[in-house]
Amino acid sequence: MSTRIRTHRVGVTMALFGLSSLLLLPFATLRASRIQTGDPVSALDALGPWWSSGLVAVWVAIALISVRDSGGPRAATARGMLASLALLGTVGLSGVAATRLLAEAGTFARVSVGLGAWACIAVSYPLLLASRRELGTAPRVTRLALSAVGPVGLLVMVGSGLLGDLAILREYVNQSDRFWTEVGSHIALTAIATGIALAIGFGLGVLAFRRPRLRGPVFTVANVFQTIPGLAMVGLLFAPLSWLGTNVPLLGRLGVGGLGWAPVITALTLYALLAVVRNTYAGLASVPDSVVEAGLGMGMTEGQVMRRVRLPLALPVIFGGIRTSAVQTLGNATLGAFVAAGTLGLFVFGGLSQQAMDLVLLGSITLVALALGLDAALRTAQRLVTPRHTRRTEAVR
Amino acid sequence: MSRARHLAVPAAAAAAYLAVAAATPAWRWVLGAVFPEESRLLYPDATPLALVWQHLELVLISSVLSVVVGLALGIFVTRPAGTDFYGVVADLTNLGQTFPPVAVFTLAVPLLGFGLRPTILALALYGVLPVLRNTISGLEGIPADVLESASGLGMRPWQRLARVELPIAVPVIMAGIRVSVIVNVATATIGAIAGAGGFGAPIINGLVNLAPAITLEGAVLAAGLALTLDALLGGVERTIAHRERAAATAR
Repeated sequence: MSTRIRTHRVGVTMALFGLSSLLLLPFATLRASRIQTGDPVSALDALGPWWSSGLVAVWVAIALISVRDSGGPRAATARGMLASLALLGTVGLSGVAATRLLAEAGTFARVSVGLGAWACIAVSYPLLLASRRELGTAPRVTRLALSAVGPVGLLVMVGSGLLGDLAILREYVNQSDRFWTEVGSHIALTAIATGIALAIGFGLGVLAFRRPRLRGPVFTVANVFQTIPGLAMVGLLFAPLSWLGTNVPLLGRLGVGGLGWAPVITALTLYALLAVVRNTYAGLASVPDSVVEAGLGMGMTEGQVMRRVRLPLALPVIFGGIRTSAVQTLGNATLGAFVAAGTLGLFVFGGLSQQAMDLVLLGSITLVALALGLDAALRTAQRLVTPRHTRRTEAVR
Repeated sequence: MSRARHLAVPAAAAAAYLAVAAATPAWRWVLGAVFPEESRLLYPDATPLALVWQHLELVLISSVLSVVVGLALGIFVTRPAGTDFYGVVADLTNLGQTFPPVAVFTLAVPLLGFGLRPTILALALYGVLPVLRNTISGLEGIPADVLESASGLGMRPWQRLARVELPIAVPVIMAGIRVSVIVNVATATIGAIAGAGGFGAPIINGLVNLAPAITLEGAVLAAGLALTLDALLGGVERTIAHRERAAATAR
């Protein structure tokens, strides 16, 4: 075990950054009503002397343990725990600040998380990630605890009502019926578009692999679709889909039109194609010739080699493409708001055009949480798919 | 000669794009022919060419910021002085791949405010990630023996960086810049909602007021700009890669 004492520069830098954000930037913003511009409130005014010195103490502690760092797992664990404390403490105390400030303000007043608190959150999270990384060899439990502490702590705080006075949760209460409907339609649009893109993209990827002459055109077209901005794609589809909806009665009855689900699904699908095509092709092309020859030598037909050798070996790479395109699609699905198809974009862009910042935050934070959750879920699924086939590769070799 | 070959077609495409954007009467004529019953043909607040300039202003300023910051950070964390920060920066670029670009924009606006300048900053923020990622992987991909022989020739660290490392890494970095610019073109169309102008303005205006011609005007201009810039940057990327390969053979 290394006992070389040195300065953990990341820890010190982050602690100084956190400390100065806490002391110099507004911890909360107080608005007289939901759409008014706010007055900045410092940490001392928002939290009172005790709570604010508690937060300061956490950052000072991070700085102190980082100045002389033994480089061992204990220091990393301590820093990780302090970083989680800073992260959850900032979020939780924002809720406390909201309750305190609202007690003295009018009925329509709103309290939002201030720039300083955001900065503290933004610094403590990478610090948490860093300590988890430094604990690479530590017991799984420790690492798992460090990854779970953020999301679990946040859920507990929201569930317990500690954050209930923050403007973003007030916004949620106002929108709660519509909120879950839009989350549902957001997920549905993402799933449908990713599914269609997967079916078409997989076929095109196999085609590009089988027919080298088609490779160039397939990639060029998929690349063009991904280069065109999503909003422009929806705009390009507006006139032709409106025409189809009015002039082809069957499509019109299905709800095809320039507005609604049709342009969103089409645009999202076209946009998601490239990642699937690229990874399907790359996965198939990465299968070593020796493995394929072994299969052929065992008397397999070309089709059997494809199904039983190439595809299983390519699966992890193909899965990576599905993950990329699903996560991209989730973000782009916000475009639905521009064509009356709902989605979280309704809150994000609706909030921007009304200048209701807390509504924007409600939508954006939910979107980010969904994206991180989807990515983590697909990553886990990808890992589950991988080892068995890797083992099979080694067996074949 | 090779430079001319890779860049001639994209440059011609860019010139054609600007010429088409400048021909306002032609837009009115074509859109009038496509939508005979429509009276609202063009976006009333700006000519097509003015929209191009607005959009280019957003994209160019934010992309320059992204490139400068991304390059500087990428170089810093791959130097001995910055290795401590390598892990944190790598974590952030990984996280950034999951973060929807739209969310970076919409989270930044409440913090930074409305209008042109906050929009540029928000675009630049996300645009840093692809540049940073590729700068790091480009600099890290250089074989150790190349670095050793450069040092063996008596080059100082900064000389080695400027004469050996950056020239070898530049094709990979260029690919990152291209991704960054194209994402910025797309996210900037949404900037209209934060009052930054650009192609988003006619697209959204047409969708909201059910004026398909105006939406089509903005959408065609936006798609054209994205494809033109992609081709131009692709041309630059190939030119650099070509020159690098030629230089490598000469060495």
